Amino acid sequence: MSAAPYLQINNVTKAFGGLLAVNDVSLSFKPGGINAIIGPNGAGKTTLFNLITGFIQSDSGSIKFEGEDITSLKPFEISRIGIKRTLQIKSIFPSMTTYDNLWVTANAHTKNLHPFADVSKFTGIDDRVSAIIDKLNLERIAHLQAGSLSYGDVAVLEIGMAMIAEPKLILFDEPVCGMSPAETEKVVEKIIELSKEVHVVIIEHDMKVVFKMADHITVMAFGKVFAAGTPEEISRNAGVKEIYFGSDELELS
Amino acid sequence: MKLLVINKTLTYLLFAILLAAPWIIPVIGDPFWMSVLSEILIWSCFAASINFLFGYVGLLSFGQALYFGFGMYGVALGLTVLGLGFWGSFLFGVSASGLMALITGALAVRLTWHYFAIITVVFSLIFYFIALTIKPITGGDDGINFAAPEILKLGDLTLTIADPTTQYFFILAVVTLLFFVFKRLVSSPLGKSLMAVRDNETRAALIGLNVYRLKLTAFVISGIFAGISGALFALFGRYASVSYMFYHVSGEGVVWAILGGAGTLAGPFIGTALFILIREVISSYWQHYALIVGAIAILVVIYAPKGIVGMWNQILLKKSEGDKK
Repeated sequence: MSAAPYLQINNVTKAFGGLLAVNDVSLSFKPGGINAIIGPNGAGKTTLFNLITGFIQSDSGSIKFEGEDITSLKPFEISRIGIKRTLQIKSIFPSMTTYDNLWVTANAHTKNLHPFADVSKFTGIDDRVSAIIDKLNLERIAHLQAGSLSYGDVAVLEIGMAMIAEPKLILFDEPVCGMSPAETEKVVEKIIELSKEVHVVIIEHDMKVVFKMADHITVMAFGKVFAAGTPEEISRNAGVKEIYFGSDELELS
Repeated sequence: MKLLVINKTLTYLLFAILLAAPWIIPVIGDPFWMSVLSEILIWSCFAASINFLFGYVGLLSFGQALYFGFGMYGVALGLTVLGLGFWGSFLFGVSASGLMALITGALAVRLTWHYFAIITVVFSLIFYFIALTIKPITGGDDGINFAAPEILKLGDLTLTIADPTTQYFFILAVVTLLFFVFKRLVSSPLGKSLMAVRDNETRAALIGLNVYRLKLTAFVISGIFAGISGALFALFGRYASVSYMFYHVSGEGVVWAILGGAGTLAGPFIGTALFILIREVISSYWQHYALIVGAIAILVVIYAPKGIVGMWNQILLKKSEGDKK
């Protein structure tokens, strides 16, 4: 446990009106293995991801990535630092081909906005795209419109887009939500493989998947960190079961 | 691939016809059609300006007449008040519209969809009424008239737009250049990034694109395109008038761009050509020609939502797929 944490969240709070979506949360994620965040709906997991990636600003507290304060950076600036993210509702560029989706993503990383040269001139980016297409076996869908792809293919494409631009940390928001068992297995495998090269944090509801992948689990409930530990510790924690399935004692009011 | 070959051939054919027009048209019809053709060319730049924003960035502007007007008045005031000469005035008009697009765009592109559309209309209305009030400068609805300036003077050779053929080729050259630049823009890394913003703003930000700056860049480019068409129109008509800054001019451009085919290169040209021809042909028989324009607009929107060129491309695509089978 000597490694320094790559991501530190210090006393972060975010309220939406009267609802404390994230309530004074402090977390630190250390390298080595996959970190998972679990918790019932409305626990504040996705809000936490939104805070990390700059989509919403926290009311108080700070977020540090590799020692750098990223609390008030904008989403595109955070992406440029190397924090990539997939969304719960799969998010790609639907009118473009798979190839072009990967191309603009890789190109954005190089900050290349040449206004007149044809895209075919930038062979370095093509090489990068080809490498990802090979790695993820996307050849068969490379020249299809991304909007016409199956759900599973879109998810893999989204992972490809997170991988292509030298990520340091990838945040997966329910990566296998709505997938067939076969697709789930494929995606889980990819993420495990990926976690050997970059830091990975996932939000996931599928407990089988979580316990298969995660090396460290954080349980959130009602905007707070409820428990944290290894999968073993969490599975033995009686309180965790309670927040998922409710207390045994029925409260009548 | 076949689709590309066919469209490329058609583009060259169209260009050849446009080049030969000054000699063909007087033979087959009234020379009056030359000026209709010039108008089509000029307004197609205006439609291209709307198409660039809507078809490639997903921003529907109903206020492009503002930048058209700035291009127009830039030329008129440059010639009459500032004495900048032909090219100086042209540049002045285009820069003025670009600058105006930068100022208004800085606010407008923060908004999306109908809010964006509304604020662009509001900006254009504000400046329309300002232009109406400062009549000593703008001439109000009467406008400013000026004489045809010289394009170039080299020894004995004087080129001036007073000569109809010279004027036509000057317009054709500028419009061709504009469409060439347009094509380069949309197939460049900048163009692809803009399309990414059009498709999915959230994802665009997540891959590290500065969405705000990209949209603003596109807005200024589009303003410059509109400014070029305004500058050309001023030179062509030898006058500038506030009435061209009114929002119904913007609306007409939107109709041309969308019905021709937003998101295609040729769409704005085809749309503009079709509707100006309808106007010229039918208005001499029937003053309610706008009814026919409306009917066509409704039909195209229902049966060819991607516009005329979009429909054409789909037909070609289906044909080539059928051939493969």
